Amino acid sequence: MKKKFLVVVILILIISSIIFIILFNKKLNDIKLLSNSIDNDLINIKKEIVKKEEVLKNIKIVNKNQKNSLSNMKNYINSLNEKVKNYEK
Amino acid sequence: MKNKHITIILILTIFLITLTITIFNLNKIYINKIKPINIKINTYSKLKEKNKELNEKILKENNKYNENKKTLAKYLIEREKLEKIIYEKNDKADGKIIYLTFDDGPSIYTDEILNILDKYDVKATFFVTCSDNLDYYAKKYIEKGHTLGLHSCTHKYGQIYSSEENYFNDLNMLSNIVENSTGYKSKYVRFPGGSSNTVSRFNRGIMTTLSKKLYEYGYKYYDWNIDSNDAGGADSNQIYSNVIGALEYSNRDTSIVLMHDTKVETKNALEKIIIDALNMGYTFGNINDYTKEIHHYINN
Repeated sequence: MKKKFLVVVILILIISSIIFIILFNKKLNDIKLLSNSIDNDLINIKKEIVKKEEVLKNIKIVNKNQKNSLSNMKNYINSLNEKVKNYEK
Repeated sequence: MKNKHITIILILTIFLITLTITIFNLNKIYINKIKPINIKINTYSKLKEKNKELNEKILKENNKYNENKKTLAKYLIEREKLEKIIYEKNDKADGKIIYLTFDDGPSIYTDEILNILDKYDVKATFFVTCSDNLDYYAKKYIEKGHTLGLHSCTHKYGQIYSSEENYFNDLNMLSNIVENSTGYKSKYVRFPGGSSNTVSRFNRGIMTTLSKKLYEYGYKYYDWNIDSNDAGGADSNQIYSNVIGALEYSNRDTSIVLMHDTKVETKNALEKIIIDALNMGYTFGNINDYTKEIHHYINN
C-alpha cells in the first residue's frame, strides 16, 4: 500500500514538472513573440520619426524662404506705392 | 524498514533540492527575458511621445505655410492694382513699352539675368517650363515683381500638340507646380513655338483649337513682335542688333521681345539692350491684364 502511494506521489510530481516545463516554454515563446513585435514597432516608429523630422526640417526651410519672399514683396509694393504717389503729385 | 524510510526521505530531499534549483534558474531566465522587453516598451513610449510632438510641430508649420500663402495672395492683388495704375500712367506718358519675355527657363543663367534686371529696376516676364529649381525660381520671380507665365512643362511638341487633352494636361501640370510653390495661379501663356508654329502640323487645326480653348479656361496667350533669334543660334552682338534694330525702326506702342533665359548669349547681351532701350526713351514692363495681346497669324 505504502509503495503504491509513493509511486503515485512520484508520478504526480513528475507529471506536474512536465506540465510546468511545457507551460514555462509557452510563456517564453510568448515573451519571444512579444519581443519581436516590439522590435518591429520600434523599427517602424523610428522610421516614421526620421521621415517626420525630414518633413519638419523642409517645411521650416520653406517657411523661412516664404517669410523672406513676403518681406521682399512688401518692399516692392511699397516702391510701387511711392511711384503712384509721385505720379499723383 | 528504517532503511526504506531513509531512502524515501533522501529521494524526496534530492527531488526538492533539484526542484528548487530548477525554479530558481527558470525565474532567472524569465527575468532576463522580461527586463529587456520592459526597457523596449519604455523606449517605445518615449518615441511615441516624440512622434506626437513632431506631429504637432508639423501641423504648426503647415498652418504658418497656409497663412503665408494667403498673405502672398493679398500682396499679389495689391501689386496688380498698383501696376495697373502705373501702366496706365506710362501709357499716357509716352506709350512705348517693351516687354522682355524669357522662355524655357529657369536655368543656370537665370540668376545673372535677374541681377541685371534688378540693376536697372526692369520687370520682365518669364514663361517657364518644368526645369530644375522651378520651385525656387518661381518664388523669386514673383517676389522681385516679375510676371510668371506658363510655357510648357515638357516642351515636347510631339506630345503636347498631339491632342487638346495632352496640351492641357501638360499645361495644368506646370500650373499646379507653380501654384503649389507660390500660391499664384498664372493665367499668362505662351505656346511653345508660338501660336504661328508649324511643328504642330502633324495634328491639323490643333493651334486654332488651342488658341480658342485657352480663353475658355481663363488663360491669355502672348506671342511676340520682336525676335532676338537667340534660339536660332545668334551670338550676343546679333541678339543686341536684332532687338535694338527692331526698336529703332519701330513706331509700335507695345513691343514684346522673345528671348530665352537658357541662352548665355542672351545673358551677355541683356545689359546693353536695356541701357540703349532706356536711352531711346522706352519703358520696360512685365505682362499683366492690361498688356496688349500680341498674337501671330495661326498657321495650323
